[in-house]
Amino acid sequence: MAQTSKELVKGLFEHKDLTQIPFIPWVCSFAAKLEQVPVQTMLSDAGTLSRALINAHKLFGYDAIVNIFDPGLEAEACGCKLDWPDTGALPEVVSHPLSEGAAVYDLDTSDFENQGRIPVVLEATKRLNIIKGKEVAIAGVITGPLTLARHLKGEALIDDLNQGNDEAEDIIEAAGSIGLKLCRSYCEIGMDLIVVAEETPGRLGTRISQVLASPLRSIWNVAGFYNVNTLLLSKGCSEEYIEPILDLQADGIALSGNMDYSRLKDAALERNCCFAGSIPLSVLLDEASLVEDTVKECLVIKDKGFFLSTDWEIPYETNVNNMHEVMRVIRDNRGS
Amino acid sequence: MEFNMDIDTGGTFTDGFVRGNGRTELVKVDTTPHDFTLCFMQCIEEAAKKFGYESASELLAQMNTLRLSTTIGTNTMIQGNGPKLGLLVTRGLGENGYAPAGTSNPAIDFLIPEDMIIGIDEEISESGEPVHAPESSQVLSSVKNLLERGARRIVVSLARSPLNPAHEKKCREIILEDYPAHYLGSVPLLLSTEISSETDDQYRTNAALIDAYIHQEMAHYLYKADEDIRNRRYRWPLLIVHATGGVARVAKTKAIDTCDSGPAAGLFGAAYLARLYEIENVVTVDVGGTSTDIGLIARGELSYTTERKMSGVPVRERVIETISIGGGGSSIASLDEKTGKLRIGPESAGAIPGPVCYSLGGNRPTVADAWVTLGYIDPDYFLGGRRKLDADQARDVIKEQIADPLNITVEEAAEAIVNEMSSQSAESVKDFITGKGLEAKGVTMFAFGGAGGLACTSLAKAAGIGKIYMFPFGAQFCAFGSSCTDVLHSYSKVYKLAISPDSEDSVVEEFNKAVREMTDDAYFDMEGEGFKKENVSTILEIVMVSKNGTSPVIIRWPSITMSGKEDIETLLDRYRSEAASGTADKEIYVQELRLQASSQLTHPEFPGHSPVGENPEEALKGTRPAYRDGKYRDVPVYERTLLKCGNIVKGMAFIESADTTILIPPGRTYMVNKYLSGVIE
Repeated sequence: MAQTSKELVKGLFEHKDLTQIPFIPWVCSFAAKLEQVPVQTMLSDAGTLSRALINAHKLFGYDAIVNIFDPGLEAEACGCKLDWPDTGALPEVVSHPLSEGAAVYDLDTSDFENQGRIPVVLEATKRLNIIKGKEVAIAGVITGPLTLARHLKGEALIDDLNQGNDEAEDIIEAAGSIGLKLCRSYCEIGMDLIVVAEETPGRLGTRISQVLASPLRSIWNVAGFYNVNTLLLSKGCSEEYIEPILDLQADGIALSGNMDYSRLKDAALERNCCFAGSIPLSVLLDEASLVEDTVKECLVIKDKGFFLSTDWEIPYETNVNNMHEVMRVIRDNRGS
Repeated sequence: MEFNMDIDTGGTFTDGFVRGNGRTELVKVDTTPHDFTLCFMQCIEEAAKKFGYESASELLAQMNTLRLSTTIGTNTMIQGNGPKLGLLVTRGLGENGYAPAGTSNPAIDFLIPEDMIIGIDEEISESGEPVHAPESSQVLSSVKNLLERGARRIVVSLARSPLNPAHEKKCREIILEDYPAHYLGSVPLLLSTEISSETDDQYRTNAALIDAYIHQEMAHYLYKADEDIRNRRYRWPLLIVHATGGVARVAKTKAIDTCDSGPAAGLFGAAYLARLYEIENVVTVDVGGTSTDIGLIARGELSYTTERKMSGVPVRERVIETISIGGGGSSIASLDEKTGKLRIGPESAGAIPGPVCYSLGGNRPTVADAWVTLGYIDPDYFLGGRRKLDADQARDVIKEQIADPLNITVEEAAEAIVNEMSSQSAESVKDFITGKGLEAKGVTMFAFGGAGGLACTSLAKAAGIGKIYMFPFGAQFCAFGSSCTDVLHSYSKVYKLAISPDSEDSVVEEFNKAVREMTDDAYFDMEGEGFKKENVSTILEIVMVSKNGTSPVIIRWPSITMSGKEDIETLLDRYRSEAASGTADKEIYVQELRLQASSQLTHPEFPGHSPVGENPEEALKGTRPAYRDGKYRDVPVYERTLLKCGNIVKGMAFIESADTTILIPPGRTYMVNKYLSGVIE
């Protein structure tokens, strides 16, 4: 009997033989486009957010629904100001409280679950879980500690970290503890997967593990307590960071950038870690004719623990037909 | 001030129809499938705002009637998210769900896996005598087996149990002894005879399985909704609309009664309007995205059916008849591979991806794409502007897949699609009408549903129907229909009472005793709902069969008693005149007595308006080009909500509102009557 999407994703992390390769794309602002509502409206209303995500899933039928993908979510709840572009893109963080005189201990996160749009996201996640959670895996997305810390402090944080600045490390820890709160809330709702989305870990160079291991370990531990799998999604990684990222010990990784998949596969499987073949966003934005070859290239890998994904959040302006084409190629591949 | 409200919870939207303070208000909110009580309360809150109240409590404190129809039961079945069931049947007869030889029961492996059905040894004779009682040890071991394999609800459906339910009741006694109701580990148990008195074991078992499957979700929702409104100062029981067209409080509602109650309520509303407008014969046409559903009022009476399929599972139940005749706006147009002929449906693009013009990746032309191409739908005003449509994509796909292969223009192809849809549906409408002994030209059409306004005129023309009515609350028609229902309870007794011209007085006495028991139950139940005995109306139906008759005959009896042998002879005469076969039989039986008791609730009243003149100019909002009969025309567009009594819009014209567009073809007129409904002639 064919496995449900939920069983597929569960089986993926248990490194089981699967009837088909799971496809876990990062769909959020694109759902607003399909629903014909502004991204800001969708990300500010639990009903619209859950409905848009469910309808997008209904349209394409991928194997996991993400509850949100908004790197500004936690930053806004911590006091950062956001700018909502008219283009439909995700909001940008435009103010950094810790670079404007505030200190780390000034951040009040005691009632974090009720700050900013966090209640909206938690409510939408509950709805998603009730409506679709029985058949489809639901993934809770958390902004990575480095990304959130950069939002709180600004670009200077990277240099500070690379110089071993204590305050910068405190900020990373604080960002990690915020992620931990959200992780716990997601797990209590009953997520299948916790995804930590980190924008630029490569900028830490060789210090990736040193800086991120501690805050991430707490998040993995909490997820593990609830028996929820974890996945680290990172953007802008080159091949040299495969091992350092794997050393962060998530249950799965999805890396963007030009990858040598055989090297990624060997390294991931050696550590019993799931790994993604990522469809570049540029393909989704380009001609539909490019989609087939790209997806087929990714689907060559058939090993246990392999899944298909997109290399970051699917942009608002993505061509709907390209996404249908992705699904067609995946379905054809499953049939063959 | 007094208010009455009707709420219809659909799959996408929850509609409200509220009356009070001399006004009627319409409400539409999104359905919240994760918790249906949320949209139920949101609907009341929106209504309160429309009447100038700050909270739902203020409105509910002054509300006299609150009725609710819902599709939750149907959704639970479609989504397959009911609990795991276990079924006890008579060994050797029911392990396949009592399917006749050579057939299968569609409920098996849909509502219940075959391995969750266990046969037990028991027998009731054909005359209803207990022959072999079920044994305690076997019943208990069977239940234990089912529970160990995950059953969350047990259904007991034994052969011939309507003739004598003693063995089903015995099973309950046995089970309750080991799993007492006051323990947390108690087993929710359902006897088939509690749900249906149907003598065919398969149909009755199906009804019980459906009820058990959807009960939990329904009970949770309805009791919570009832509690929520009581906490907000509502003083009366919440009334639930049944598929029979009546309503009852939550405690007197079986889960299965609620399935398809929305469409049934819609037809009840149509019957109410037919009486208001003094129209005898009406065909209702509800054109939605994926289907067109029709119903009939013939000679002032609603058309009922005794057999229906719920998500493919057949049950026998007397419900208002509605049939689906095919396509809606999302039906796909294609060319037959062999003949090259244009055809519409049966495939549908559904709501997702929907028509090509939705820009959700649909790649096959639909009827809605044709409407957009012809200029019938304003792409910037679809759903009141909530969804922008892509007219270019619609045009391109029709060109590529229909127009070019047929070597005609895009507009000709689009018009052909619209006409083909009408002619396909018209055949079914005509068949339905003539099947009830009516002629299409003597029937009036009531059109509603999102696409009713665009499809109805050509459909009516193709079916030979002259007059069409459109209603201001067409997009909330089911909620309106529920406002026309009354409290209704049905009772039944299954028998095998032989009757003949020589019947003894004791037969008459037995008949009257059975009816009296049912009427006593009815008065008791109605009293519980706040109605006095003198305000309760009753209707008695007698189901009769003969030894060789192929099917039962249902006779509506004018009173609720029999006075003597004369009545028996009248009953036999009526049976012989209505039965299709077996009329010469000497052995004729009363198989079942059915009693319907009803108490009237307040119904909507429509204040009459005085005509203000024929000129509709004040409602004119502009013009747009539209293609019809081989050429483009600049067609005036009117805002429906601004049209006044007496206004006459001459075709060709469009009348638009946020929820629908009405096309008035050339040569036809749309007149606003005194109740502000539109009459197209």
